[in-house]
Amino acid sequence: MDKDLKPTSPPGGLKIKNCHSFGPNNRTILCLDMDSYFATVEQQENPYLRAKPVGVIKAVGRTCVIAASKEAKKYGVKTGMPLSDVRRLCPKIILVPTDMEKYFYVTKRFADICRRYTPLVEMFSIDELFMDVTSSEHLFGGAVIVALEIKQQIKKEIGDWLSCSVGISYNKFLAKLASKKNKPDGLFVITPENKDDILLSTELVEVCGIGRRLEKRLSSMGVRNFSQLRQLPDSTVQAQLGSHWPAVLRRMAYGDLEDINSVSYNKKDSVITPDQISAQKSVSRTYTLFADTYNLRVINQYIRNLSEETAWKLRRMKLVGRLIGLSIRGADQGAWNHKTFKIPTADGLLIAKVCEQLFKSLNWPNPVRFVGIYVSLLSPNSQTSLLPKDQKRHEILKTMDYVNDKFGQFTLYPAQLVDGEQVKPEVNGFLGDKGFRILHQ
Amino acid sequence: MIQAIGDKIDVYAKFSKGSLIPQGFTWKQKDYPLKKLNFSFRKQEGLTVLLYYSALGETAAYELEFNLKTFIWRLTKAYLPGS
Repeated sequence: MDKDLKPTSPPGGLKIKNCHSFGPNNRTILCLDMDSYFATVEQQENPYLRAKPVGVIKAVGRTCVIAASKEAKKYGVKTGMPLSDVRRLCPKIILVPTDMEKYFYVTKRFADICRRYTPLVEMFSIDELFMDVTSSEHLFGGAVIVALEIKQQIKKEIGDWLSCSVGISYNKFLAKLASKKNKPDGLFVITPENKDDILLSTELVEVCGIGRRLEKRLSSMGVRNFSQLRQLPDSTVQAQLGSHWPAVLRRMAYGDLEDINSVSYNKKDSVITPDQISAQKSVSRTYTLFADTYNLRVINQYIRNLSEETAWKLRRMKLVGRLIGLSIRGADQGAWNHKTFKIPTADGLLIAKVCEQLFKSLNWPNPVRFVGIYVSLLSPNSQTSLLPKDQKRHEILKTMDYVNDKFGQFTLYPAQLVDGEQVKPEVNGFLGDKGFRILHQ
Repeated sequence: MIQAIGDKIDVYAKFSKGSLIPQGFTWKQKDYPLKKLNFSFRKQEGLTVLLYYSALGETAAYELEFNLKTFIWRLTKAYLPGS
């Protein structure tokens, strides 16, 4: 242990002398959240950007900021804000285009640091992860020491401008809330003893799982804080929000929600899943176009392009899917449609043909600005078709993947894409395809 | 200001504790010593691995790219003060 790491009491309620598992489930969960991630990485790389308001944009020509430095946040700049608003709030803002591959490289490095303390590390997004240190914290002097050491090693090994905030608690829901409580460069602990004080002084939208839309609906029921949420009858929740929500909101209200992944709300146990391939529910690729288009040929090119990437990711994860879906947005409207098949696939051509049909069936009257392709009902790709036609197609795809893996993506690509904009594979901030990214990059 | 460059350069570097650390480079017949390595990362294009180093020089910061397949160094960006 480093001499500088003193296990004094961090904010929150932990008596730290010997931080071993606590809480009703005897677990210790850490949530590590990198501070102002993309902008801070840019400031790490370019020292002349440090201590200045920096906004990260997707690319030159894009119209909103996708990340802001802590200096820009002081002016009120927020993620997703249009550039016109950003410039009005902060005229001196410096705009930098993203480099997702660079950020993801840093993600892998801080995840590697975390894995020195436990193999139970689960990526939550490109800048957040969970660690279950229940069985290993005693080796390092407790969870707070683990957190302090990780913070120090990130600065030493990756960059001294980078910082992270760490939340410690006994489930992922509370650990994530704790990670937001003392930003930037913070450390906060939620225990069974201080849990109620923390929750009752927390705004509903601060917790993971209550977005603006749900907050609005709760507000219409007269619920504006956790105290009121605790008093809300299950029957009212069920009537207003459906049968899924009473149990979820009840557990949330008391901080007893073990998992924060919406699909796992009903699980009783906190689950840290280092094997994120088997947990993969769907594989997708979305893209926002630079300009609106009505041109069907161009729209079909994007559909094919994104289908090819989705299929490539499926093949790399050795998965196939039976449900093929398309999502379209434009002119502030959105629509989606899907089709389920008996035979699963990981072939981009087939996925694209289905999505072209789905687009046709939508009778979309607006221009298209956003295209999303998704494949779900996944299963391991364990069977090969005996039909010669399918076997030939399988060999073509195998060869194409081999060439592209060796010489770079889009060395070989479908002729349909020759004269269009090529959308290449890239990591996104939500790390929706984390299983794929962690395994193959 | 960030200036994209992309020119081939000669680099002198230190190999220490399993790391490659550029110490300086020659560009357009002028020597640019590097004072501090700020950041490094890697990218992959097919099987080609590219290493990137961002380092502080005397009057600016620079991004250098090292192609592990060809062993060619490039000066990819110059970060100038007053951006």
